[in-house]
Amino acid sequence: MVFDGGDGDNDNDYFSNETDTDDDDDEDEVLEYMHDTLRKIKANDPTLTTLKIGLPERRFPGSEEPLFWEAIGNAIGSRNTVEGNFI
Amino acid sequence: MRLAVEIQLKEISFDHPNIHVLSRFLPGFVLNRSIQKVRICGNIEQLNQMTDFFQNNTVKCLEVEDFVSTAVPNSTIQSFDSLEEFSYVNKHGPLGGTRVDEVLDALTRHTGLRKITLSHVEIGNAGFNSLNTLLLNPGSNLAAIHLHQQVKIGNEGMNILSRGLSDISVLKELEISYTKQTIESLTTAYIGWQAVLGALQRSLSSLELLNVNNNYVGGRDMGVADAISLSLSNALLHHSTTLKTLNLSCFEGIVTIAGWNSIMQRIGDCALLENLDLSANYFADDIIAALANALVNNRSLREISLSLINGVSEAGWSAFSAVLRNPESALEIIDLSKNSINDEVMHSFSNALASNTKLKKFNIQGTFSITSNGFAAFTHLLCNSSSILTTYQSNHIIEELWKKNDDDDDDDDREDDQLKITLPEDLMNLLQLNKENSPNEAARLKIIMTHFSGHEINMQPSVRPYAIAWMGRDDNLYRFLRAMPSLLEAVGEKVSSKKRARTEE
Repeated sequence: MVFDGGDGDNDNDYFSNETDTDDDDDEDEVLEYMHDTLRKIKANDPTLTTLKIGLPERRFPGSEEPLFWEAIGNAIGSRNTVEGNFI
Repeated sequence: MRLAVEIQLKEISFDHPNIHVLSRFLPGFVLNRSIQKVRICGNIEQLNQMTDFFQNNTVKCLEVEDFVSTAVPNSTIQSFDSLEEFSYVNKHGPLGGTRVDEVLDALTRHTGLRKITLSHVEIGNAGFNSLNTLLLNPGSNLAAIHLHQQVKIGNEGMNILSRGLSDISVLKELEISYTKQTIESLTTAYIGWQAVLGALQRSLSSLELLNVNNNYVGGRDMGVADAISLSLSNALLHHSTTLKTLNLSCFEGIVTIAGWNSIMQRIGDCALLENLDLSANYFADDIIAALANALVNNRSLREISLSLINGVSEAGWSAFSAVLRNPESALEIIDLSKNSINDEVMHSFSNALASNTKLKKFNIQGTFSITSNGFAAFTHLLCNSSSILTTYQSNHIIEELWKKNDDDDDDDDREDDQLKITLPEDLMNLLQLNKENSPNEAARLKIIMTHFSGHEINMQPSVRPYAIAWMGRDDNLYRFLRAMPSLLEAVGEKVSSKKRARTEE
């Protein structure tokens, strides 16, 4: 599995679902995907093989995005700091 | 504070990342000690912040792509020494300020480097000199060089490269492809190729892969074309005991039958060859016959592509089908797409495949001369319904008659749609049955469907118990019993007498 955080190919970027026009559902999906990715990193889930950091076509809801990336970076670096704020 | 669990993530890809994303991400990320493969696509202004990451990790693979406005991070490459694979791709044309020779020079510290891929970049003479330096370093482990879609390789560059190729002893893979569009002159292109092929004849290495697809290698003169053919033949002979993959697709400039015949003969000498691509070439019948002769006793080849071959007639393809008669053939995939394949050719191949136990994919995509008669030959091959024995002896291996596109590329999908042929439904079902079942199971199901369904079966009583046991593994037993009403007559009588007895009580 590749966590596709945006690679400009207009497909499979996280929470990007072009056929789904329901924004509320999207936000729920995004948050779930974010948490799921963090869990996979920390659990060394073997299905997560590659992490892509890029420019997703759609943004995270509200102010969660910077905190999410900080939490992802910290998780990959095994550093436990702002993760608590994000979760 | 460190977490108790050490992170095991192995790969990360930076793809034109947002600067604000990176500013949040990098401080934690640089502490990582598990990632071994890094892809950087697009400019990363904060790359200097990752020096600590590269110095303290054992990154084995670095892919750099599309550094458009800034130089490739040579200082980053020089800050560590653990690379085994390096790839540099620029699909947006020549770079301002970034020189390939400087990038290659920066790799000198990485003595464990095994593979270099350069694509869509202008190597230049200085770049080839730097590549030679890496090749000829006494401690060099460089086993694979892939020069793919270069810009202006040039005869002088080929000459410089040939010096390195003849002296290196550890090289296993060489690719020089897609230079056709960028050569300096069609008239003189052979000069550089003559140098490279000459070096391969003298090489201290034993190549396992040679990929020279989409090149113009000859000249306008027949003598030059024959000289190039001879050089390639000799190079193949030199590596014939180790070569496993050979790609001569769209290898333009060899124009004589004698030239191709000598190459085909050497292909036959490659005893370990597993993958051969000769697609998009012009072959006369004599050349395809020479290839058939070279492969008729081959036991190693698993995949061959002969897609888009011009100049071969029905007789030529029929002659080639002899390759599949070889009982020791290891061929699993044959690509004959976009060729002039007709019903007669289909009959020849179906006859040749009657005893073949290896071929799974027979790609005839884009061959629009085949009628129901030609497809019927393959239906008969997959299920000869003459008797139970002939059905059992039919081909239960072939799964596909066209290429399945594995990636999601929309352009490829569109092309596949245009080339798709419509197979009869019964043939589709038989292919599917082969694909989803083991050969034994496929044979069993074909026998049941062909001989034990839908009509009364005339079977000796002594054989019935074995037939019932054989089919009793699944719901096919029901269809079998329905087809043999005599078996159920006695059951009906017993049920009726018991029912009468209960009623009387």
